[in-house]
Amino acid sequence: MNRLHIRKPFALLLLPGIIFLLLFFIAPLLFVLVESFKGAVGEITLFRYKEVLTDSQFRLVFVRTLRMALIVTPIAVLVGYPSAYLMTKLTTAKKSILMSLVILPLMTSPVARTYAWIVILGKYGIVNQTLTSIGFLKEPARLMYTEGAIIVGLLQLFLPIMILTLVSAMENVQEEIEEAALSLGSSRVGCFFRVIVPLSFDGLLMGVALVFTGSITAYVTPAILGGAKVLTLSTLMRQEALVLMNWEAATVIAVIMILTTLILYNGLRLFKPRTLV
Amino acid sequence: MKKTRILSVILFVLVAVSSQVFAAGQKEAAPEAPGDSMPYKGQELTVSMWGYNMDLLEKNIIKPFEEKYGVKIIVETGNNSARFTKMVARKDNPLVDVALFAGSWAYKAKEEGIIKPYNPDKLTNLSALMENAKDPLGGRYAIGYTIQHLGLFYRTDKVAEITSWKDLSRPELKGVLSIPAITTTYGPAVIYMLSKAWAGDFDATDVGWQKIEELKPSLVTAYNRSSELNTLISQEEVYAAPYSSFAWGTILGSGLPVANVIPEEGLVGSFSMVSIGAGTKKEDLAHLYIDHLLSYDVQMAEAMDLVDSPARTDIKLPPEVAQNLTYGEELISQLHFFDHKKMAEVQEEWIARWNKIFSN
Repeated sequence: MNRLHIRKPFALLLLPGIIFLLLFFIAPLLFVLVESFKGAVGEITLFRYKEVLTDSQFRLVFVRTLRMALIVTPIAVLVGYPSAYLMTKLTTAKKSILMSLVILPLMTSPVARTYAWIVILGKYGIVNQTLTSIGFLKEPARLMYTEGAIIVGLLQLFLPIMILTLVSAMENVQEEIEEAALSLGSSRVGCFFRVIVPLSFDGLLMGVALVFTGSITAYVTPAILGGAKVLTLSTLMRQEALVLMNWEAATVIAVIMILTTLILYNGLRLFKPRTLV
Repeated sequence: MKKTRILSVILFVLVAVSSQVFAAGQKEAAPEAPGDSMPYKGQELTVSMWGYNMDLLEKNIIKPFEEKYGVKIIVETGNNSARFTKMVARKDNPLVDVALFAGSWAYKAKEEGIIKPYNPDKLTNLSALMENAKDPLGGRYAIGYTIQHLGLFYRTDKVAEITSWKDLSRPELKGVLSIPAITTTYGPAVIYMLSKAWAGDFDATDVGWQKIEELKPSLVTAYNRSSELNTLISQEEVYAAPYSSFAWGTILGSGLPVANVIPEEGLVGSFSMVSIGAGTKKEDLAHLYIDHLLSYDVQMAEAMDLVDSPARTDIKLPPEVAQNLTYGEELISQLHFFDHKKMAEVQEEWIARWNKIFSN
């Protein structure tokens, strides 16, 4: 496999980015990690983890957050994969129109985007009005402030990211390989699953990691669409940090969130199929 | 050699840019010019405050002060908790000169040492305030610059008149009720009022909690911000709810048939408080700003725009304005003011209790 060799002086161009990441991402992250193991007098202890992990309230919120992320991610893959595949097959003009449509939600404020869901999922919103007018429901159903509402909001938020990641991965799959598979007798579906999917698996992995991580850590969407009744890890963390001033518990929750996403990401890598090239 | 030169250029650019960025945030106050008619001209004053109704706050408070004294007001907006946290985090290097907090947060700010006592001799308008607004926390740590209350509203076309806090448990309110979440300013007050209504005693809070649990199926949601309640009302999701009085103007603006009531157990009162930031280097200017906030003109303008109810006793409001504010003997005599210390002490336990009820 060919690797791109960067001449050393040019590698220095990476320096500002690296310094920025070190200062504003890695250093705070290490700080959070170290703090989570510190006791009242600075000793190293697992006490805080024990306290958080044995709290039934935390376990309930953790399972709920995980459940929602595990629902959102596969749906994003199932909806995103065919869309991304189709987009790579279109002419440049058609593709740019579709790309614009995909990117459009990302360019809207998350708060405005989420408030729009209140209008759609509200008691007299479009969904309830439609379902009651066709006789499917006798009375408007409670859609807002439920886990379902959060899942819908998260999907809208992260589906574009999944599609963009997959499009970029599939564009790197050489068309000749697909043609070769078809000419050797593979069906279109077989070619998709046995050629396209393995060759774009890195993109899929990245998409899954981004969507899952985003779903676990999203704050605005669960806060607005779930309200005070449906707590998630991020809204619980906010409560601990900004209401109770319990930074220790908030730190532990942050570390658990990071660990959960790391475990999933590395776990998925184990399932990576053998590459064809 | 070449590598070192490139590295030096990059580092120089980084240092130059970052020094500019940090210098902008630490602008030194211009020295006072003796004998000048605007002795504070060119100085900056950092005020930590809420962002709700910001356009009106700019018009009524900030702009007139800036124009009168030639001072630039830097506002740091956010809810109580976010601003409190920032001030605690910057305790050793404070930036805030004047801080505005709701009752329990002002108490926490006092405990945390991020606000300091004011000097009554520097506040010409202090004597015009209601007696209990002059020093609500004790030790002259804060002044109640505006009085508020937790009102109770209902939709007149959908719900029969509400006359008691007990009425929140009426079956007709099932699915159309909202209350402030426990983490909000008035969240704990709802527990006290339900305790009073059902057990006759504010301190019988176990009864209040039992009622909260019973109300759970009736709630559309428990709101975290007044703006959230406004949305719920305008979307016709909520027909009755306790609301923060400063949001009443917006609730009326929805155009829906709504009415507010004074239930038989009364309502909850509170002051929004203003304090001097601990460690400020502009103590005189901070006092001047607070005095401006308490002035007749500002308090009148804020009241007329339905932003804040006056803490001054000499403001006379027309009836159509007065009825939408925390104003007048009839209403103010029905308000209960709860002990912030007591509320701060039970906060953690109550939030855990609330989470347990609502997460199951």
